[in-house]
Amino acid sequence: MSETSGFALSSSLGLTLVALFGVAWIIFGWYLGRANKTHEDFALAGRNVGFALAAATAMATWVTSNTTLVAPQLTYQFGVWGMVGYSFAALGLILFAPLAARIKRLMPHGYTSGDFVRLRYGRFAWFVFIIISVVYAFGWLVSLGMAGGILLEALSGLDYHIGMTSILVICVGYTLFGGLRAVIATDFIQALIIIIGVVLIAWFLIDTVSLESIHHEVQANHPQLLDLLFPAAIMFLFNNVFFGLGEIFHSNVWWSRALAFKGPVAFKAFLLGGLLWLPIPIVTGFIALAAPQLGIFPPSADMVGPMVAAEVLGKIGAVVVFIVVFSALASSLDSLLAATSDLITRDIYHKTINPEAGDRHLMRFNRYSILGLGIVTWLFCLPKIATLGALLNFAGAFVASTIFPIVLGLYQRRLGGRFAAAAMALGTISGLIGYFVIGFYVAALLSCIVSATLCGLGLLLSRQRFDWQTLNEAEERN
Amino acid sequence: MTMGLTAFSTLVVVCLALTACAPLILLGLWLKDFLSKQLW
Amino acid sequence: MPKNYGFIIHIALLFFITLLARPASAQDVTDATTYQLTLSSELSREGYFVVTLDQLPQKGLRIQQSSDVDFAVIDSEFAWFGDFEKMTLTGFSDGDYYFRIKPDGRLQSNVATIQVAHYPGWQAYSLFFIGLGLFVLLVTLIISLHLRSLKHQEEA
Repeated sequence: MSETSGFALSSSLGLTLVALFGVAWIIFGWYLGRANKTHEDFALAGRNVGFALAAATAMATWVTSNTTLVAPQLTYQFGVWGMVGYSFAALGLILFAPLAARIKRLMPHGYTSGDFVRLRYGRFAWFVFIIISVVYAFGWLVSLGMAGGILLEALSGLDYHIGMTSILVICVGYTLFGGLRAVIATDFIQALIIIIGVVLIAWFLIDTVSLESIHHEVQANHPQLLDLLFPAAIMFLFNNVFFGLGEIFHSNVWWSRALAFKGPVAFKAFLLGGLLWLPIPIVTGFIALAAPQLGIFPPSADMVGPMVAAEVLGKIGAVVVFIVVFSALASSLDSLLAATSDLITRDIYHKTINPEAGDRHLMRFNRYSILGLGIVTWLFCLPKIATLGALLNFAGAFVASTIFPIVLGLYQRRLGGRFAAAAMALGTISGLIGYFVIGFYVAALLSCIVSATLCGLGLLLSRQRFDWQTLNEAEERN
Repeated sequence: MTMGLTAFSTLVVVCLALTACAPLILLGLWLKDFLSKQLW
Repeated sequence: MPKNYGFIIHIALLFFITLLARPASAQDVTDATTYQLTLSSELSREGYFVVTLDQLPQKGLRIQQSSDVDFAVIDSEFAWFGDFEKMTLTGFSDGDYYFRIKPDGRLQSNVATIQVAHYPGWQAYSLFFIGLGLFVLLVTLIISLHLRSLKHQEEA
């Protein structure tokens, strides 16, 4: 750490790291993209992704920058329950495993989660669903873009705009060239980088300050953190679980993966991805419990993980954390770019505006929408409005309302479109009301309860018998 | 109800070991898919 | 993952700033100073809170914690970390806590106080069990529906 510049890395080193990653990934994306002959190849990697890459991409995409940074924060605030509760988010991946297998079987030619909602529930429900999807995806995109810029600026003194632009250009670049294939292949490498980095930090930490001394210090001076009946932590637990389930069940990020995996692989891949993810938040989270022992009391709780890492590993720690966080950001950003552009191309353009579009045309449009999405994200990131991200704290209210409509829609013939639309709309509204009137810890829970109740009513009152064949929409190939 | 040292250490060490295994599992699966040409 | 996109934005920023500022780089001024100490709220429901100084800390600053306003018994002392104006303390059980800067002749501060009152058990448990109930319902639903669909598939 240079005392003179005041930054952990020099601007040139920061820029070099970014440039190296960027060039490597874009060339890799271009290399993989050569095999893309059709829109299906581009958007869904030819629907033929094998087990290894499938499991790795499921895991890596779910390791967002949150897993590496917010897991320690929650542990610092809520103690043992913070990290254990956070790892429950793996349930989202694990429970999605049967759904993914079902999706693959019902819609062998499907493209997006929007496709499913449109065919299963009709236009109105589709409209509600698209609003939820876009709010969620776009909010996440913008916050990831901003995080990239802020990360580089804080690390190397590189201007925010240069950093933010670089990470967007890199991710847009390789997604543009390689499509989902590039996203999945880079995810594999990013998954390895993330896990190895996290293990390294935890290992050095245990080696430096023993588990015994960490436990002793916490027990003596911060006893609440070891309390297994910590009220706030117990209270938030299921709200967070439903938030996570809603994110995975509705988002095209996960649906496009389910559709892209080889037939029998989908179930196994999500299951394994979830199981591999499960222990990670505990490893990243426990790092925070060492803070008091090291005399670290961060200015804000979300800094605790990296501060401990830096304290234990010094400058190498700064570089390791930088690479881990950068990889985590990229592995989510590329997935979102790909999945959201699919949604725009398929659901909005092909199915609403230009149904006559041929395969080549769609592939070209898909690329344009990745580029467009990148540019719009960039424009939103330009002013660096932190509150924009903070607004998305209530995304839980949106996404949790989709859980029951999706699950029942996949398996139950009876639930009709009107009830599904009402469940999503009223669920979201009640979740938002709960968020503002009671507190953030009920937003997803309330949204899910209201939506589940309406779905239950729908099952009781509806007489329709949905024909599953409708989902297997034939594709015209021009 | 406080979490004791044994439970705490076991939790962390087991999770660290599981996490450390993950790259090996992923690389093993990759190799298997690669050799049988099942990657994509 | 669940919750807090907003965090992502701050996190990265906050994070790297911290790598740079270590106790070693804290201000090396030794003027006599009176600090104004404020806490993030008067009541904490989660057992953590932020202590804020009105100016950058001097080297060697320590915070004292006591359960009575006269600081008859000092329960704990924390060395101020880095040259930040804020410090997050965590893991407190129910009770009233008083904080001040350890007076050493040249440094002093006001006494700041906070009440930690965790959410009542009934509230925590009722939300927990409502969530658990809904979750069990969902898991049962997914498993049973999935098994049924597999059976149908075999029959077909």
